[in-house]
Amino acid sequence: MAEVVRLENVVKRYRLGTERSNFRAAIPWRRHDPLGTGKTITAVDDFSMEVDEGEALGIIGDNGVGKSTLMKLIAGVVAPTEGRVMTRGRVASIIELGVGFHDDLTGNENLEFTAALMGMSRSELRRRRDEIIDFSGISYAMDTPVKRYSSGMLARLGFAVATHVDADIVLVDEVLSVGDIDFQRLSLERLAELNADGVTTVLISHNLAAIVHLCTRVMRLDDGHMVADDTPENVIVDYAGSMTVITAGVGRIPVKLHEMTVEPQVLDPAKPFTIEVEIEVERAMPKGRLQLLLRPTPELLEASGNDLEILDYESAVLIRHPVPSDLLEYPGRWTLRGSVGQFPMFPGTYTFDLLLFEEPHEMPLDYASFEVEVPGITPKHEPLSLPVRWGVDRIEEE
Amino acid sequence: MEDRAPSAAGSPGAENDAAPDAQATEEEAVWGAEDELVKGLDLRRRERQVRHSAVSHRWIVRTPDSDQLAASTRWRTSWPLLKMWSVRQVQLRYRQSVLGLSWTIVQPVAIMAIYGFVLTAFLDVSGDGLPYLCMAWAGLTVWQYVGGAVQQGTVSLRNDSWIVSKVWFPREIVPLAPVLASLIDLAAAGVILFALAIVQGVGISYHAIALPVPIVVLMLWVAAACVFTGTVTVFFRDMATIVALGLRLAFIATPVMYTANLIPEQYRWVNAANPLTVVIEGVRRCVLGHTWPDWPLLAFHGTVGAVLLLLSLKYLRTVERRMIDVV
Repeated sequence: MAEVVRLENVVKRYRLGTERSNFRAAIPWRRHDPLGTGKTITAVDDFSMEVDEGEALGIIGDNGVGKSTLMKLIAGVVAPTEGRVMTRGRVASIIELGVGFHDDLTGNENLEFTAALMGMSRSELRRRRDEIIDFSGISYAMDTPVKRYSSGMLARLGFAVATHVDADIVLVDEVLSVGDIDFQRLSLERLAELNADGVTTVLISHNLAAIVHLCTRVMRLDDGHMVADDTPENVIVDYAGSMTVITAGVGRIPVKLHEMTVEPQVLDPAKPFTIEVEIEVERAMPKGRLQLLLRPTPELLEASGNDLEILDYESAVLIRHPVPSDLLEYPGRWTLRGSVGQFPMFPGTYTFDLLLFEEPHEMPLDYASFEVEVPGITPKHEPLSLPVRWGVDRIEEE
Repeated sequence: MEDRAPSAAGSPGAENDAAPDAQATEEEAVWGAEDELVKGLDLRRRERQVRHSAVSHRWIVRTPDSDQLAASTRWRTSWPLLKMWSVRQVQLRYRQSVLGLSWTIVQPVAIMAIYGFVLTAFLDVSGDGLPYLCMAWAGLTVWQYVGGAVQQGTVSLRNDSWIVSKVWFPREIVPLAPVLASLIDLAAAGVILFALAIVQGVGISYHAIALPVPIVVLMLWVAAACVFTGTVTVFFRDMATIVALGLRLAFIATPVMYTANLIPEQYRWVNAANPLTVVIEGVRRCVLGHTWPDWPLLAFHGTVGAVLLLLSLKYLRTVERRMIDVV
């Protein structure tokens, strides 16, 4: 098996505290001791590993155990204090989304710059530009300065560029948790696609489910050391067992949300309608919570007078409605039914989402959606005016 | 992706095909077939079609003190990014201002107007046979380029450390970008210089075609300065202040607003030693003087500038691995 990443006894130390200047480090012929005499912290300690071509490696571990440092070492952003880091081929690192974006530049300008930053040539960019914009799903905002973007839009664009640079090795550091479910799904799909094309993928994530679904091998770090390197199942069972936050057992979700239907699908705002969701409870999930969202399509939101500025997922949610979640404690197959009374809605297309959470986490574990339509012509945005006629009468003083 | 050679049969890519399938069935037993968080994603069961292979690439080895990339590879990857980086600087400069890029013309015209008024109306400064304004403007054109580019280049790496610490790319791009980006100001000021020469009756001769030569010499020196000071500033922030001070001193010491002939006989060697003087005098001669510039002197300074640029690039590459730990 051919390796494309190899780390040999790599140590990375950082210095603690500050100093007045680093003048000595600027002298080239002086052997550089980046650590000085002060206190140091060892982020990665005597670490050796290999990644084979085409592998999808997941790296898990608590915060501050050296995952990100490891990633930066592979990306070549930081130099090892000791040991050797070797890579083959083009490395695209997604350590942070939107690196190199400048607020004042438009989506297009930033796209060009970031693509070049990741090593794309002009001709490559010309070939793939449409694909990138398509993937980001924000073609309507490409001529808008990115300071008007929501964080979700930034994430989409940043991820789109980074995953279209034709890299041989893609490094992803916990960026999947940004953005909405659609984006998370899309980005996981994209990573899987890349991996299927033979791109070596290294993924850091606290989202164990994502790791399980994407990776063929998982490594667990603790205190700068590798403590496990095995199949996803073995590593994660072991890890999750020691983590109290995952109560429902090993990243496996005991509740499934199946079909969602809204009757009728074409809504008449003047009439009540029903929402039905099929829910399968394998095991009781006492901390499970359900939430119903109503989202208009971006086009509708825009037409109804909302500025692009607020067009992120959060504010695109019209309604966030807690759903009684008692049923999650009772195993079985259930139909959850909600009758909605008269509810004023603009004509247009909307999506109902039912989300499953486990407290106290904010990351939805599962969801079901249904698109509904309110017939009619979407009104062009006009300021509301009150239909009032004014009149003035003098008050005679006596 | 398309233009990359697919890996040959029997290569590591092909071996990959078998492994995940076996693993997938095993997992199914453990996890249950329907246990999928991400609906519709059957990621590992997807058929693997290896479209390209990294194995044909050479290893890039990073150790605490070795170089990262061969110089040729490095330059090949740098050039497109350097262009983009420079374009970005120009895009950003006057973004959201009403006049936009017209500022590159408005600014030098305003400066020239005030200089011209003060220096010709209040003081009686000699232009050494040329209209004073023309002569001084030739100097200012060059000087504004030097001042602008070097000042930006010095703080560039420090200011863009947020990019430097997140992505690896050849670091010399950052201090080199202002060298290219400032060319737009140089061009604008140059157009005004030609206009002045015509308006003030000096005229233009065919000698003007030699103008690119002093400009290239100038760029080499400015690039060398930017790379060196930019790198040092990362480690030693006082450098930015030192550079600002140095530029002010150099402005007085260099015949920008006066002619080189004003310098007394016994100090004339300074003129030949100062690359800026050589460049400015070169520009004056080929645009205004209707003669050829001092070729040997330009060649000498061009060579020295090129060597200094290479040395400063070498310097940057030697210390770049330490940069990220201190920025």
